[in-house]
Amino acid sequence: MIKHPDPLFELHTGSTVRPADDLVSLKQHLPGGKFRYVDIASQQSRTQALSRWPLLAELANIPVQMAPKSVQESDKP
Amino acid sequence: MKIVGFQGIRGGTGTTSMVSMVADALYTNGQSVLMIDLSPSDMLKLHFNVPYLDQAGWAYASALVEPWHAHAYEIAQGLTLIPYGRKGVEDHYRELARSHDPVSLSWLSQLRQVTPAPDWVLLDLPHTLPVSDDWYPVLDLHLLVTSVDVACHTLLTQYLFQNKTRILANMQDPSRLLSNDLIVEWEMRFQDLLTPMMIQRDESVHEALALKTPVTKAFPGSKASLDAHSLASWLQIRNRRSS
Repeated sequence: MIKHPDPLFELHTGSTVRPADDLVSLKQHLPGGKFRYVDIASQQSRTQALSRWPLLAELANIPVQMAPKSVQESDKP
Repeated sequence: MKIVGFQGIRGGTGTTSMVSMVADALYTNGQSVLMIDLSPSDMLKLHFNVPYLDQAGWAYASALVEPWHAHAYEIAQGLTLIPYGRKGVEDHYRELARSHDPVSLSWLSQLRQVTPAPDWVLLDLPHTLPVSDDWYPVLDLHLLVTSVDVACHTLLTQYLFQNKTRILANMQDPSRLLSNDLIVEWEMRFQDLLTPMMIQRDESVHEALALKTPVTKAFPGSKASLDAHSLASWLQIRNRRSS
């Protein structure tokens, strides 16, 4: 069992203690706890979704627009 | 005190109902909540059994040169509502006619001085209100209420995200393929910009407004009500972690 913040898990179980899963374990053993990984199942779901709906496919490659930091508050929400 | 602004990406995304149900869920969890309706349509009060023709509210107070907090309803101890307020429907048309010169929201900067400070301030922001220094810096969190449909998906593609803005998916219908596909796309596309909580489509929300009661009170076992409680708990957990 590990202690690792997960609001969804806490919400559904009322507990901050949850069984280890592979991703969490991996994060804990890597420097800074950060790494990039590819969620193949989600990518496959996305590919299927885009093949079903032409408008989703058309918009899929338009980048998310973020306001420049200079006009934003420095605080994170 | 945490100040959360709820704003629809367009009209009809269920923003006002969302404010009413989240406020009631937070209140049920023992939190004190102040709601402020910033929308000239002045409909938030209808979710709390305030008569349609009542004039009280911050904009009406402003017209009378009274403080913004002069007109407040204590719905219950620890649950307070400040409507938009107006003399009547004529005032609403006048507001629309002078939309080039909207009522100033600079008074929102005084919210942090309210005593006793509520645990939460929930702002119902009109979707027509552009992001400005009048109100955005006051917020701790800006929830962009977005119904799970292709029109909102297109608007999200055009949206310029600020640093405190997160997408709140509303009216999700797990029985429809497109609705589920949109969520798959939003999770991949927006990642942390998408709140992990979403509210399911539920006719009870409309019926609750007709009953002039938040859905969490009128139909506590409904899907939307349970989702609203999850969202309220998520806000509380997030708050505990940031404080």
